[in-house]
Amino acid sequence: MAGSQKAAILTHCRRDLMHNVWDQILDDEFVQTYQHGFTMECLDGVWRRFYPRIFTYSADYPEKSVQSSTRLYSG
Amino acid sequence: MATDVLGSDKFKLEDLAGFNARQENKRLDLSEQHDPKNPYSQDGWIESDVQISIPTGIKDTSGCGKQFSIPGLHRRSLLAVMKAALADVTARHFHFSPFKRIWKPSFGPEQRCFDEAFTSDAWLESHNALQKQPNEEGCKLEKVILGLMFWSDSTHLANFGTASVWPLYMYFANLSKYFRGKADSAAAHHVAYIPSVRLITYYLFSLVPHASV
Repeated sequence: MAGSQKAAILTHCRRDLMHNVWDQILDDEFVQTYQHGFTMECLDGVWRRFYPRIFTYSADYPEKSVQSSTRLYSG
Repeated sequence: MATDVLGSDKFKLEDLAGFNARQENKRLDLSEQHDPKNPYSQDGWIESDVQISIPTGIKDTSGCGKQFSIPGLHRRSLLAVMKAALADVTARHFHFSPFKRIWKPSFGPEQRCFDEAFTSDAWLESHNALQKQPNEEGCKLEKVILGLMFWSDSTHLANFGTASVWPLYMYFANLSKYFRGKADSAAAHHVAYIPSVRLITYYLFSLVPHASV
């Protein structure tokens, strides 16, 4: 297999892995909660309905950091 | 504990015979697991495989490539983590309503300060949109946004060798950054450990016979 081909397949694998990992993390339970909220008694004794919202996402994506040589090992 | 338990009349040393802390802990966890009022129930770790599809270069009528399973994703239910965080003592510092922070200098015009997530326009807009959203049926509770902040960075565990983990953390933007940023604030919640990309390489090249690493 040519080197460029291998790199392209690895890129694809990493992307697919990332997507499918997030697919599992953001499960049906979370989606339901996102839309309809969940109730919880707070420490002040008041019940509230909470709606999660994703405010920031700061994650490294291995492929990009390999390109910019910021990673110690390009594994 | 010394006076209440060890000093009690009912305390007998014989009762401790064959005591196994690990086993008793497990029993305690199990007994609390199904209590719906317990925010800590089911916030344990779930281990699962991740399915990915890999193009093999071989003609495939489904067009999906070859399905491959990467083992070792460890994750926690986000809902359970959110519930546990709200029951935690740090939740006392949570801001439930966004606001605008205005600085009034001794002379000159007022100035808007952008300092926290819960004083940002994005939060205010999101909060207003949520208030306009119809209530859940029969629910008159205050509607509050929980701002989730995900953070992840692959970490090397040792100076030598290749041991590494790839954790995913979740912070709550409802908590002030001055609090969140403190190392001892325990504001980060681990929500997942993502399997290593090295594993993929290993599996991939065992899958494609002509490949050389």
